[in-house]
Amino acid sequence: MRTHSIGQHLKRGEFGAAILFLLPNIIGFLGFTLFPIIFALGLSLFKWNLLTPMEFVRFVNFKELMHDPLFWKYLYNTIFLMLGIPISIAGSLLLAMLLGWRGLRGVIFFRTLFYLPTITSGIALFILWRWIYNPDFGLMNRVLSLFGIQGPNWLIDIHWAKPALIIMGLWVSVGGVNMLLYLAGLKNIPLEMYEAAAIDGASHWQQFRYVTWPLLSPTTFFIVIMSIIGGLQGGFETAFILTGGGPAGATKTLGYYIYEKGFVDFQMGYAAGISCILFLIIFILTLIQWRIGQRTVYYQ
Amino acid sequence: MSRIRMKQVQYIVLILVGIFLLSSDGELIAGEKKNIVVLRWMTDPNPIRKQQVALFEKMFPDVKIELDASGHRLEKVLTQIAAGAGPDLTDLENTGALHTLAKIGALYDVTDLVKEHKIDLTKYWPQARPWHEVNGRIYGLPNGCISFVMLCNLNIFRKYNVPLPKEDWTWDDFRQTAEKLTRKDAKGRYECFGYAGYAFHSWWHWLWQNGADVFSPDLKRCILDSPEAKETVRFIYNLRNEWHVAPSPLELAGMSGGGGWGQEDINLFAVNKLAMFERGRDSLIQFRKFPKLEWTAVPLPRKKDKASTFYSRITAITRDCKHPRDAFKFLRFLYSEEFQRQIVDLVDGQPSRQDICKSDYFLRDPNHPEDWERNKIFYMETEHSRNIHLSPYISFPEMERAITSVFDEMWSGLLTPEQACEKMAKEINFIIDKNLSSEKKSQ
Repeated sequence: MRTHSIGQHLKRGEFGAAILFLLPNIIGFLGFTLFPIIFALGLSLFKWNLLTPMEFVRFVNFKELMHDPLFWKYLYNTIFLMLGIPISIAGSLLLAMLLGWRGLRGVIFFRTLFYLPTITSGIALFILWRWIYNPDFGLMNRVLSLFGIQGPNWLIDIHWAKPALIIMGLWVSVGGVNMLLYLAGLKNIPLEMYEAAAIDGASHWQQFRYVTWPLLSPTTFFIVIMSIIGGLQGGFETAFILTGGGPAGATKTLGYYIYEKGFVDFQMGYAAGISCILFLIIFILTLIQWRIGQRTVYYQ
Repeated sequence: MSRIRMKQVQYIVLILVGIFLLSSDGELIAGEKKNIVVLRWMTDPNPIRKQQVALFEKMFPDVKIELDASGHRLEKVLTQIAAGAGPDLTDLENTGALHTLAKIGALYDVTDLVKEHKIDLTKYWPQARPWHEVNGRIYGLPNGCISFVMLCNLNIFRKYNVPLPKEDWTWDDFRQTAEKLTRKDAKGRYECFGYAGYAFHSWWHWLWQNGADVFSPDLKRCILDSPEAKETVRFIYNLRNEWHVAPSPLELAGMSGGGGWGQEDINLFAVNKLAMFERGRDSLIQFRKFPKLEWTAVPLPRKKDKASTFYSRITAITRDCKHPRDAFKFLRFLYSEEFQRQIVDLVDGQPSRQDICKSDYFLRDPNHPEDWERNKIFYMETEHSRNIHLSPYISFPEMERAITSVFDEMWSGLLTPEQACEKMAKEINFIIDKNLSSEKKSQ
């Protein structure tokens, strides 16, 4: 069978129009995505403070990075804050299954309610949670005191600041995009599968384990990859606005450290080096997940 | 879609893209209108800046100031200058920012213009010099200054029948006064604290009062591990953890409503939950919003020495300015008596000119006789005030981070004050040694 190129399928005028319409996106991608990535890779081999000429230092930035205790501390913080990801995914799936239940009334209302935190301004959320976490009159400690528990100092306690951020993150993410993805995934599961399972005598749990969960594996796979990428890159907004990275750097992540090194200390090469390491970590983790996914993800 | 219609669509898209590109051309944005030069001044979001600009434009009608009141943090200024989009005039928040920008050539050297216009720099407070001069060259002019005094909430003092501190009060007197003013309600919650104020900028004078400092005289070593420094930090620590007369900085941040112009301690002071804290004259403008608040100023307590912290704000011309001689008119305006008096009227700190500070216009303002005694204290404390000496071998943000991070650990109970001092000194000296070694290698 002869294959035709896209150009041959399209008429001349249409091909020109296609390129023209794609041009803004292509220019944007080249200028704002690809070029900065390549520039950052190159910049990591230099010392530069934005205004004076760049100084080529080869791998000195990476060498300093490996011996920088703050880099390892903030990498630890970044990974710690990602502990909420599995809980968030499980919560999103649970919410999606509840919303997908045929007997439930007011689905649209609940779906909107759960999704509200996702579309609320970050600043408003931070102000709200700062009040919730206030050790003296905040809602969290008030509720805990009803059960006879004396709540910690949350955001101002070195040991509790990170768990506090994880809880806040769960409140936003559980009803967010992941829930919508799972809702769509659940709708794509043919009802005949459940009918066949019911005929075979499968309980609700068995139906979930042998029908729902495997058929949702592509969605789960996508969510896990995107959540891990987002988790490794995130934490800047929270550190910058809510906690200032404190107390004692307990809530600073690698994303914040890149900003700090680049735009506060004006060590652009060093900051680029951190971003290269972060890129490498994300790349390796994603590759591992792809390998695992090839064996565990079931496509219909 | 027909060929003719497709062509029409292509032409329309091309025209739209062209319009977009042309409209974003910076050259078309007017920097000059007729014979008026428009300059962008990057400063803080203090509402009184508009009045200052109005006075300047009245005095120099051929120059218009476009206010960029979104803050003047160093990273913002430097990034804009690097992009070739820097402001014409910018305020600088500390001497570190001045040195950083001057060293890399981001500021316009106004030394010759200062001489040309016969601006007498000796009229400024002597402490203001490091704020505008680097290696004998001038890069800006002062825009107001403050010195820290102890502000006392008279409502609370009267409520608990505590006498006002004397001028020569000591650290022990201070502690006893704070203890008398710290009160709890029936449920054991703090109703009022005697003192608050451990923000990074407010504990330097405690060190100096005890004969300690952050850096050695040659600025190459951090000496926060000296016995005097440890004693000072232990005293600050005990104010909260031993004598319970003050909230920790972390608790203060948690207690406050925050927001707006000003900080947490000002808000708590204004609502009668805080009896004393250190601040400069710039806080008066906040207090005028609370007509029921009665307060006064007293000198800071002393130990081995009398000392307060001096802060200035300067305005500099950046290298991106296309009209430096016109921008210098703004600096001349800052030096003028009219502006210095406006600082008094608008309560934007203190005049940076010593002669204006000494005059009756400041010390005996007929419109505000309630400020006479307070302004006298502000003036007296300025005579004893010192600048924070920053080492050129460590950047201000690096130093601030090292100190506040260790202080956080101390307040969280992970370190004793003595351990905190040693850790701060160790971390800062590590950075200084690294920078000194890089400097030697590049030489």
